Amino acid sequence: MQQDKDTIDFNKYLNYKGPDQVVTSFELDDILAQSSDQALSVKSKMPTLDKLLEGFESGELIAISGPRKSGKTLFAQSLTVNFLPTKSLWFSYELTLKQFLRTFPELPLFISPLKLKAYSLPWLKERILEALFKHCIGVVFIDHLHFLFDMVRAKNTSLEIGQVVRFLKQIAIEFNLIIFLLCHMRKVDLKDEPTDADVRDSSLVSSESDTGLILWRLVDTDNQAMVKVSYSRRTGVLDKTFKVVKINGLLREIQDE
Amino acid sequence: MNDAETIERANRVLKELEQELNTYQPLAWGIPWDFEAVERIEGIIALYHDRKRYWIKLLAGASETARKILIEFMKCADLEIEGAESVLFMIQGKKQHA
Repeated sequence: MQQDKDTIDFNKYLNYKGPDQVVTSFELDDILAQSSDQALSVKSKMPTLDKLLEGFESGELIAISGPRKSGKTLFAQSLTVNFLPTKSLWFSYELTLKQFLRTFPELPLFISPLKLKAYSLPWLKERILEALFKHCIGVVFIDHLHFLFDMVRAKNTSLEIGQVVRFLKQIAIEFNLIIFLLCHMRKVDLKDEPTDADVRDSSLVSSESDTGLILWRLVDTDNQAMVKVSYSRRTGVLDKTFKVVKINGLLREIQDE
Repeated sequence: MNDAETIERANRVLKELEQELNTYQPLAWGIPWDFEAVERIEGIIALYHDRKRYWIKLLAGASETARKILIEFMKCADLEIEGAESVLFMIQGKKQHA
């Protein structure tokens, strides 16, 4: 009786062809070579950033962080313009829609919900799918992380953030999208160069995202900031910086002579 | 990816789908409605879902022309899935269809 229970139907395993079947690394390489051509890749049109990251690719989650008023939103708006004709979906929780539209020097094409709902990941996913089916968006900007979960009700903020970030990463992979998540930093001294360890509430943001970009203002100038590629899982870049300047309402890279 | 490439890839998957469907044929009404038939129809449904997922991925960053074609493909896939599910329900005796 015991023997019957332990009988293994080897034919079942030999003939198994399900989507989760096991394959060799060589077969996997062939499959990926066939499917990799569906990847979407966009360039920031900021030469150093494009060189360091070789563009942004679908399935990636990029964290943009920096101290208050460091230019995170402006940097993301500049990317929105530079990514065109690839369309972006914006969840701008920090500004009213009217304010947000006015911050662009010239209104570019992007997609946005008419109304925003905070603290609801299912709602966020629904709107992303709507924008994908209606407008074929390639990029999503979320400004910012702390509007995606209810801090008052959160029992463990750090774990909640981890869940949110993982959820966004799954969406990026499942729908071939590039997701930019803006995150605040805890208070840092303006004289110090911020690091990804300064991201507010959670180190899980850094560990779960593919790329980390950090911005900070150059205090002795009116319109310049530094951008640091803190880490990039794909290209292996660590802590490389470049300078940007605000020209005509958008950030552009200043290249060394 | 440009328009022509996206459409070419979507079409290529459609052709692959037709070939893969042969694995599950014949789906003739004449075959006995047994366990094998159920497996075949479930296989067809899974194939269409799989292809739909691929087409959804192609939507990201696609043009309006490509979008319309991809949505048409997905609508057709949904009809096929609906039809296959009706047959499946009949075989399994879970639902009666006229």
